[in-house]
Amino acid sequence: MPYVVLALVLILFILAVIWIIRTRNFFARLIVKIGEAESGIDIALTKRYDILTKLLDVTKGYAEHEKEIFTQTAALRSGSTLKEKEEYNSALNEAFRRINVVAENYPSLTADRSFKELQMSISDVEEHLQAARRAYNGNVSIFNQKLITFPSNIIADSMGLEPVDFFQAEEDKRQDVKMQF
Amino acid sequence: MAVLEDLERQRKTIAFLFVFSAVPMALAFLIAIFYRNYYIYFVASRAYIFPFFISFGFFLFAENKRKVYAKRYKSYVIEYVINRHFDDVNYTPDYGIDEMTVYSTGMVKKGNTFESEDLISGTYKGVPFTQSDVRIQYRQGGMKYSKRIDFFTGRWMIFRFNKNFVCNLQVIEKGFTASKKGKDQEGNRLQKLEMDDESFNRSFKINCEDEQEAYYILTPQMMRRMIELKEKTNGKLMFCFLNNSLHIACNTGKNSFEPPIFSKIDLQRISAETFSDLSLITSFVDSLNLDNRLFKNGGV
Repeated sequence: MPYVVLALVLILFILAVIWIIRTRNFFARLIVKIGEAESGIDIALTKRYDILTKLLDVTKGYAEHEKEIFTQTAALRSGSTLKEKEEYNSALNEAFRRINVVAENYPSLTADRSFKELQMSISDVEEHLQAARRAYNGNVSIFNQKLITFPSNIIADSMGLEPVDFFQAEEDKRQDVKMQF
Repeated sequence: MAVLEDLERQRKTIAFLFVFSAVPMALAFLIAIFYRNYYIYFVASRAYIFPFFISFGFFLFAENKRKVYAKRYKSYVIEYVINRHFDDVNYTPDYGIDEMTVYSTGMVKKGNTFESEDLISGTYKGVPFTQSDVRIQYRQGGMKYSKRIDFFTGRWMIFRFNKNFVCNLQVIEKGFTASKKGKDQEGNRLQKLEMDDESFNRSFKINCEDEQEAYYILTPQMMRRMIELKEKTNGKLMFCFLNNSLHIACNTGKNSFEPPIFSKIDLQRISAETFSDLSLITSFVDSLNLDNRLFKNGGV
């Protein structure tokens, strides 16, 4: 009889160890995935900035006096926080919106082939940014749910994990920068 | 019209041959029912083998005739109907999408029998497409015992996709049992993914190589349209995004464009049926906005 009890305790102990390892690995993997998704956001933001610079070059020829619009936005700083990325995204939105306003005043600019191609690129980069944002928020959602639900919250506490913020897109501003074709 | 009349004559002959092939067997059964004593002698002497062979011989003869008739029917009637609805389309009844291309998606289990026919290739709204009937089966057995498992019977379509991507993404409707359980063509396990749309997750299983690319392809609008297509289409749907192409497999369980045998060749009815079959291609292009070139040109 004592052997049966001992065997049961041993089995329960082994199961508990396996569960702890699995849960720790789950959190570790999720942290890596969140990091990957965040770097996806960085890449998309950098691409947006690159296009912005190219658009600036094209637009300069038509609207020299509007160049101060673009000098206000610098490239994304490496190691910036999520909040800074959100602000940077908003700044890019604003810059794109102003470029659109300029384009409306110069019909020859909207007819320019390079300008048109860059406008198309914006749509593609927007899609990439949205995909990166959705991937990031999807992983953050799973992470935060696991962080507060029992019993995984025990492991999360022992690992000292904290809830992660979502990447907020300013939907109203995103609407504003939609390009006309 | 002379060809049509000739086809109708051919059809009637084949219908007669099929019916006639059943006569010796039917006679043997009638004798067995009405003359039971004779039946015992009949079975004991194994004479039942003769009507069976006669019937089988006639059936094979009729089947050969049917194949010739089907080929002629497809190259005349179906081609005529297809050309009426599409401008830039090639129809090859004897060929289909090749085995390698189908298996490269990793969506369906490999069978030991692969059949493909009725290849249609062309362009719709500037989107190049290829489609054919595909049947994948696993057959096993000999004279006494035989097993046949249908892995896939239906339409396989390939479209050029309007976004550039490098990874493999599979979207398989739940309930399709012959999928490769989340593996690619080389047997590598793909990553399971749950999207940010609950109704989409309820309808489809998603396996991908790269999570971010999956989100890039499966936009909220795209997912909504895929759910709508699932509601509209008969048979389980599978989507595979591979090498900048979109493979759509529809497991309808039926073979399209087959000629009628026991009913008259009615060009109007056939035209309507064929058009409805073809509208599956156009509906995918229209619903999924595959003609939108915005993202294809937009790479930086």
